[in-house]
Amino acid sequence: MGGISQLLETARRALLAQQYGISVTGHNIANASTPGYSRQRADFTATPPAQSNLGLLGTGVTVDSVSRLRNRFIDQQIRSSNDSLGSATSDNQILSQIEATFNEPSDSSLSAGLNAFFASWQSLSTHPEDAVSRNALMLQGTQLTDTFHRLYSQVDTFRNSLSDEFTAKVDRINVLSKEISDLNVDITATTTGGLNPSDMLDLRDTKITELSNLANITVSEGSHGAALVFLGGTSIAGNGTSLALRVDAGVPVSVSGTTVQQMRVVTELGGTPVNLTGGETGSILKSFNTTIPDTLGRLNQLASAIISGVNQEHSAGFGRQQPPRTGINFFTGTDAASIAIDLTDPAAAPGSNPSIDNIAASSSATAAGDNSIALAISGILDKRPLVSAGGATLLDGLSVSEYYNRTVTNIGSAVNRADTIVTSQELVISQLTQQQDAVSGVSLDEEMTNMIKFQRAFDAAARVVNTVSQMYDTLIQMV
Amino acid sequence: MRITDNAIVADFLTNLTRSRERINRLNVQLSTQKKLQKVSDDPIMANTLLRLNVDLSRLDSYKTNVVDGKSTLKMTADSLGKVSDILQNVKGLLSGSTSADPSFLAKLSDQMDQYLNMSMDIANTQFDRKYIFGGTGTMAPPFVSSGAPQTVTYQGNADAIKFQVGDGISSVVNVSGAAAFASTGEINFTGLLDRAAPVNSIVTTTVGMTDGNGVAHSVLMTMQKTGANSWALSPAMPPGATDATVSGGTATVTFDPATGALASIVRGAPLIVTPAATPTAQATSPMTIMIRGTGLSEGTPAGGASTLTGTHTNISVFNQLIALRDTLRSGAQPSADDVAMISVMQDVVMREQARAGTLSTNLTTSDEYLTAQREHLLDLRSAKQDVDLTEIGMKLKQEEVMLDAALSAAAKIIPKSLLDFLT
Repeated sequence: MGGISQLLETARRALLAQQYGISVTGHNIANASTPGYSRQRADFTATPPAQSNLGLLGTGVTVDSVSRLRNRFIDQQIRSSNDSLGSATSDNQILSQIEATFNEPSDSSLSAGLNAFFASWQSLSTHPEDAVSRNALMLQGTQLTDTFHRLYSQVDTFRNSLSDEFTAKVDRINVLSKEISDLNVDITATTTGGLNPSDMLDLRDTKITELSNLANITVSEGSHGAALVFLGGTSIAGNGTSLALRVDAGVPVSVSGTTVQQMRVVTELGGTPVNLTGGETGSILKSFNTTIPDTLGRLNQLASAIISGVNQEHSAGFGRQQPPRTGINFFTGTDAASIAIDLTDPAAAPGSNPSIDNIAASSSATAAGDNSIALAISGILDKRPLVSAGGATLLDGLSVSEYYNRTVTNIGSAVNRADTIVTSQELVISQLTQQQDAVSGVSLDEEMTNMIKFQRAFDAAARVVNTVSQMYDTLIQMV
Repeated sequence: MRITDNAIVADFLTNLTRSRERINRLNVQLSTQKKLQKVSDDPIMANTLLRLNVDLSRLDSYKTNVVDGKSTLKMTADSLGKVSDILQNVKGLLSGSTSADPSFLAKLSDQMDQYLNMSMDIANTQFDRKYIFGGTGTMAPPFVSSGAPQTVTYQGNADAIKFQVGDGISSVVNVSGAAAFASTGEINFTGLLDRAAPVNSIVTTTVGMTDGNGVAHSVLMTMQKTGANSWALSPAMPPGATDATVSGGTATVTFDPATGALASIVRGAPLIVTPAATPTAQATSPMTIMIRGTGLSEGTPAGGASTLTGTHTNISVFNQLIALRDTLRSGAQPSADDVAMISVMQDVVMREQARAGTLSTNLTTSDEYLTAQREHLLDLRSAKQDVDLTEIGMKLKQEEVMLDAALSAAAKIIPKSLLDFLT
C-alpha cells in the first residue's frame, strides 16, 4: 500500500489534469468563432497503477494528449467541391457582366438598334426622295454603329481587365503555396517531436481550402503529416519547397474568326506550362482565352455580315445627287470595332461627304421614287442565308436577327447554367461544412458542461488534498 | 449529430439570404412588371421575346407603310375624280359649241384653256412632297408644257411604286400619269377600198405602237367587206404574238355610194391593247385607242387591190385639250370625233380612279390583317413577359410570412445557451 504522500501525488495529478482540461475548454471557447478551427479534446488516461501488497493501486490521472477532432475525408470532399464552386462563381460573375453589357431585352440594346435601323429603311421605302427619312436613317445608322463600338469595346476592355485579376490571383496562389510549404516544415518537426500540432494543421487546412477555391489542386499526404499540393499534376507545395508560377502570353489563336492573344500559366523557373483548368483562375483563363473571344468574334461576324449585306444592295442603287450616282457604300469597316457610315461619293464636292443624298434607295438613275433598294436592304435583317460578295455563306446560314439572338441567348444560358452550378455546389458545401462542423465545431453548451465537469473534478481533487492535509495533522498530533 | 452554435448561425444565415433573394426577385418583378430582367432569367423565353420584338418592329413598319399608301391613293383617287369632273365639263362645253360665231367660240376656247390649266395642275399635284402621277419619277413635275404650238410631254414613267405591307407582300400605291392621262390615242386609217370587191373580201394592215414602258407592239387590223359600201373593222394580235392582248376596237365603216367618201364610222368599244407583263416592265398600263378613218374612201384602186394603212398616235388628255382649245380659237367647231375622244379619255381616267380605289381597299384589308396580327403578337409578348400581379402578390405574401417565421424562430433559439441557466 502506498503512503499518504502517494495520496497527495494522486490529488496533485488530478488537479493538474482538470486544470489542463479547463485550459483546453477555454481554448475551444476562445476559438468558437475562428474559421477553420477544429475542436480540441484533452484525452485523460489513468496513470500506471502502483504495486501494493493488496494488488495494483490506481495512481491517478494524466492528460495523455490533446486530440484534434476533424474528419479529413470531408475536408477532401469540400476541397473538390470548392474547385467547382470557385469556377462556377467566377464564370457567373464574368458572364453576368457581359450579359449586362448586352443589356437585353431593353430599348437601348443592339437588338433594338438593329430593329430601328432596318425599320428606317422601310420608312425610307415609302419616302425614297425625302430628306427627313434619309436624316432619320443616317441617325439610326450612326446609333447602330455606336452600339456596335460600345458593345465591342466594353467587352474587350472587360476582357483586358481580367488579365490583371488573373495575375493577382496567380500571385495569391504563389503566396499560399509558399505558406503551405512553410507550415509543412513546422508540422513535420512538431509531429516528429511526438506532439500534435493541431492549430498549425487548422491553419494549413484553411490555406489549402482557399487554394482549392482558386485552382484545380489535389492534395496528398506526405510523411509526418506534410501535405503535398499539386496543381494540374505539377507539384506546387511540398515539405519546405514551393514552386512559383507566373502568367505568360500564350499563342495567338483564332476564335470565331477573330484572332486573339491568349494567356497561360507557367512555372517561374523554366517556364513549363501548368495545366490550370479549375477554380477561379481556371474560369478566368477560360473566359479570357475562349468565352469572351467567342463573343467578340460573333459580334465581328455580325457587323461584317451587315456591312457586306447592306453594301452589296446599296452600291447597286442610285442616290439623290444631281445627277444620281451609283456604286456608293453605306458602311465602311470590316468588324464591330471599325463599322462606320461610309456614304462617300468620290464625285461630290470636297467636304460634302458623307451626305444623306448619297443614300441609295432607288434602283434607277431616273426614278427618284423607286424604292426597290430600300426595300431590299430593309429585308436583310431577316434574310437568310446572307451571302458575301465572294459567294461565301455568312453567319452560319442564319439571318442577322437569328444570329444575334443566338449569341445573346448563348450568354444568357451560360450565366443560367453557372448560376445553377453555384447554387448546387453551395448546397453541397454547406452540407459538407455542416457535417464537418458536427465533428470539429465548438458547441458552447458542450464546453460549458465540460467546464463545470472539470471544475467540479478540480474541487473534488482539492478536497482530497484537504483531507490528506487533515490526515497529516492527525498523524502529527499523534506523535 | 452534434449541432453547434456555428452550425445554427450558418444555417440560419443561408436560409435568410435565400429568402431575401426570392423576395427581392419578386419585388423587382412587381416594380418592373416584367418577368424577365435579364436573358439568363429564362434564356428560352428571352429568345422568343427577342424574336417577337423583331416581328413587331416589322409589323409596325408595315402598318406605317399602309397608312402612307392609303393617304397617297386617296389623294390620287380624289385628283382623278377632279380631272374626270373637268372632262365632264369639257364634254358639256363641246356639246354647247353649236354656234359658229367666232367670238362665242373664242370664249369657249378661253374656258377650254382654264380646263387645261386646271387639269395640268391636278396632274402635277404634289402630295407629301412628291409628284403622285410621275410613276417613280416623283421629284419633277410629270407633265411639262412647252413650245409653240404648245405641247405637253410626260416626263415621268409608267413604273409602279410598291410599298411592303407584309412578309413578301408588296402593294402598288400609285397610278402613273402615263396610265391615267397619257395612255389614250387614236389609229387613223387611210386608204382606198375596192368598191367592186366581193362581199367578205378582206384587206389587212399592221399598226405599230409603243406602250408607256417604251415597248413596241403591233396590232393586225382587218377590214372586211360586209355589203355594198359597208366594211367592218376588227383588230387582232398578229399570229403567234404574245406581247399583248387586244379587246374592242371594232367599227363599221360606210361610204357614200356616189362619191366614195367616208359616210359614217360606227365604233364599238375603243380598242384596248394590254401589254403582257414582262419581267422588266413593272406596270402594264393598257393603251386605249379610238379608231378614226379620216383618210379612208371607197373607189377603184389603181392596182386593183384595196389599200389600207393605219397610223397610231398617242394623244394625252392635255394635248387633246390643247387641240380643242386651238380649234375653237381658230373659229372652227370641234368634230364629233374630238368629242368622242374626250369620252374615251374620261373613261380611262375613271377606270384609273376605280383602280386607285381598289388598291386602297386592298390596303385596308392588309391593314385589318396587320392589326389583328399585331394584337396577337402583343398578346403573346404580354403573356411571355408581363407578370401576373395577383400571382406575384400571393407569392410575395407567402415569402413574407415565411421570413417572419424564420426570423422569429431564430430570435428565440439563437440567444439560448446553458449560460442563461448557470448561476
